[in-house]
Amino acid sequence: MTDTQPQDDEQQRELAFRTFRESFYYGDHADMQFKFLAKLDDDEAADLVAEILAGLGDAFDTGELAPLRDLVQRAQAGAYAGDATPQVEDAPFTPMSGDLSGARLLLISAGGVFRRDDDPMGPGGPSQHESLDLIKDFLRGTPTLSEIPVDTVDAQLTARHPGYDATTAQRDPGTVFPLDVLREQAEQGRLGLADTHYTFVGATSQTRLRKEVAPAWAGRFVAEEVDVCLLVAT
Amino acid sequence: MCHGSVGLVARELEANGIPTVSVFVEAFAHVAGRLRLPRVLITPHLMGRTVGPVGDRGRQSEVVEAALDLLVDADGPETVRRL
Repeated sequence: MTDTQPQDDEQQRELAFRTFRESFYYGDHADMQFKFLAKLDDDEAADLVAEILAGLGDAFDTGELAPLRDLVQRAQAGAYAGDATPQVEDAPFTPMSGDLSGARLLLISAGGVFRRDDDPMGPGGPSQHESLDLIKDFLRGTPTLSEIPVDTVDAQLTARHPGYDATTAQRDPGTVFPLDVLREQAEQGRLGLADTHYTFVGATSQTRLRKEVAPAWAGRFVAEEVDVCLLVAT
Repeated sequence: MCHGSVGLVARELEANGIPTVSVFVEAFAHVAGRLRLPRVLITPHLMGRTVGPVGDRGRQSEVVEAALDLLVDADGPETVRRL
């Protein structure tokens, strides 16, 4: 009993920490900015948490958040580098013809932005936090386009997305849907804009998107005489 | 996942004659490579802030302008530019 107890205690500590870091991935501490902690091993995660806390302590004195932001950004990049997106064989490419001044540009974002008066999940749809519990439904579901007329201002927009923390886009849609910046570019004469722009929730069935939905969307945009497209991933 | 979704849509648009440029964060740059996207701008931003931080309109404009430049400049497939 006494011989095995230290090992049991250690196992319990390991399990407790593993449970803690994994809980950021749709668990008790669900946080889309830090869900990557579940991808790290215990030592990596422990070191990172300690570094973040140390950086936070520095920021209290300096007011400088950039080092902390860079630390988390590097950690995210390292954690996701090993995912298993399959390699495709072909590389479709349509050359540009001329500059953008006469082109009708379409903006598409996968950030789940939508007009406040046009919730794709209906009036009273789930909050950002509530959407996290629906992640499996989203991943099995069919993505739909939210229409954003070109003259829509940021104050008319909000966002919901079960794969990243869309409270950021709620605060500033321009973080993932830069229509306001594009309007400025259009006013300066650099490009033209399509009448309607689109967003969807990128957390969705990849098979259905590839085989059915994306081809249908492409046909729709061709019919709308879109010339070029800027896409933003989240 | 979401970066892959954007990649699938971009590939389909290119195949239908619409030139595209996609903006990705560094954490998912490898997804752009595996999907062999035509034009990709990689930003060194946190997830969920692909175009720039909240309220930083200057940075967001810089990213959009870089993406538009890439759209015009790229002379072949799989052109990747980092900001």
